[in-house]
Amino acid sequence: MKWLLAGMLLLMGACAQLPTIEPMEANRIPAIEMDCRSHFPQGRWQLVHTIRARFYGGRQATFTGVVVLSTHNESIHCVLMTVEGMVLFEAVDDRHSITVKRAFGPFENPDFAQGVMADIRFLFFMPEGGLITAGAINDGTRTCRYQGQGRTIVDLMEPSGGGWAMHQYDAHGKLLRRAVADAVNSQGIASRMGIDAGSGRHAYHLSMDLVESVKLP
Amino acid sequence: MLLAAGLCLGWADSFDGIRAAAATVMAVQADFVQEKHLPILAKPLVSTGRLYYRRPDALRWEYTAPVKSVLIMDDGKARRFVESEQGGLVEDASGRMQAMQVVMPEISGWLSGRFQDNPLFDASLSEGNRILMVPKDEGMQRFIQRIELVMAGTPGVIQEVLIFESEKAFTRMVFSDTHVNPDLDDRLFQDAR
Repeated sequence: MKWLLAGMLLLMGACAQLPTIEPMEANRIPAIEMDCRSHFPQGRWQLVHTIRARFYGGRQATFTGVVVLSTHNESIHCVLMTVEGMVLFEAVDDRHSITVKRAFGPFENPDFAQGVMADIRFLFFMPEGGLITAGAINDGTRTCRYQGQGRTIVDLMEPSGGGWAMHQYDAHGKLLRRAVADAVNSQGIASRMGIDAGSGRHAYHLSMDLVESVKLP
Repeated sequence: MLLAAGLCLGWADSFDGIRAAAATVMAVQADFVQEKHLPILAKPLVSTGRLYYRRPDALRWEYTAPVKSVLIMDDGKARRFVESEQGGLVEDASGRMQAMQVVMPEISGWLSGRFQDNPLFDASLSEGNRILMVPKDEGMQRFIQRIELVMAGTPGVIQEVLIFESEKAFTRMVFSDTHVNPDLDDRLFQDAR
């Protein structure tokens, strides 16, 4: 039921532009901000997911994804492999540049590396520009609005049905990415996540099931 | 104990011995534990599953955890089925990837003792009852540096497979509960379910 609600929220989001937020009273914002912050892991983490990807035309592919991320230096090291363990893609994003260490076939495209890192940053890092406002959108959903990378805007929402959702918009209010997830644990990690990104023939959906999370020193 | 082990493994001392032992193997069923070792990983990623093989080239490579998936090789072509979000098994495009199309026939070839006439790998016998396989093609070496097969005490049976992408990035598969020449249902190689 929760996923159905989340899916409906996504469909609604697909037609939406940047929604208006009715701001909370100023004295409530710090508590809400703290709550929103809890949706992101802090420190160094190794996360392993089973990733089911669905592409334009209905083609599906399943991968194992490994991400080592650090909120200290905002670095990302990711590996994408077949379920059998064959590495198809490996890249490092040190926040300044992306280095592809290994890539085969369709994963050799530099746009792919950019897209993967942008997806990971969107899902696991608190938007770098800080909180713009917090409040409720039209349907009453509690929302934190952040300034994202570049001139993007990121809304983090807590739908009444549970879990959380995020929308990323460009400077013109065009929706770039949407994510839904189960409620996070005390470490800011969700057991299931979904992300929709791209448009037209480049549209894709990723469904991610957490296999394990390891807190790194 | 060592002597006994040495005697048992006499079948794996030469390619002729391996081929002769493999000729008696018409089918194999085994459980496996797969460890993926990568420098990025704090600890290896562990998967479990089961393998079914029947001569000449029918193969079912089934993972039960962490995600249920089935690779079936039929007529030289690999197809993968993976558990969908809704729970059923659906065909997965990544099974058509070139790498899998290379690896699946190889596994079938190993189980039937075909090492020396391999167009893709140079095979040699190594210490520790190992067969060392190095890709002939430089392009292939980009994703597989070498493969090591460790022979089991039972003639014709492989105990362990190591696939090295680099010295620190490798996959280790250890087989157990191996049954030689079991009666395998045709549906295992036709139907992912």
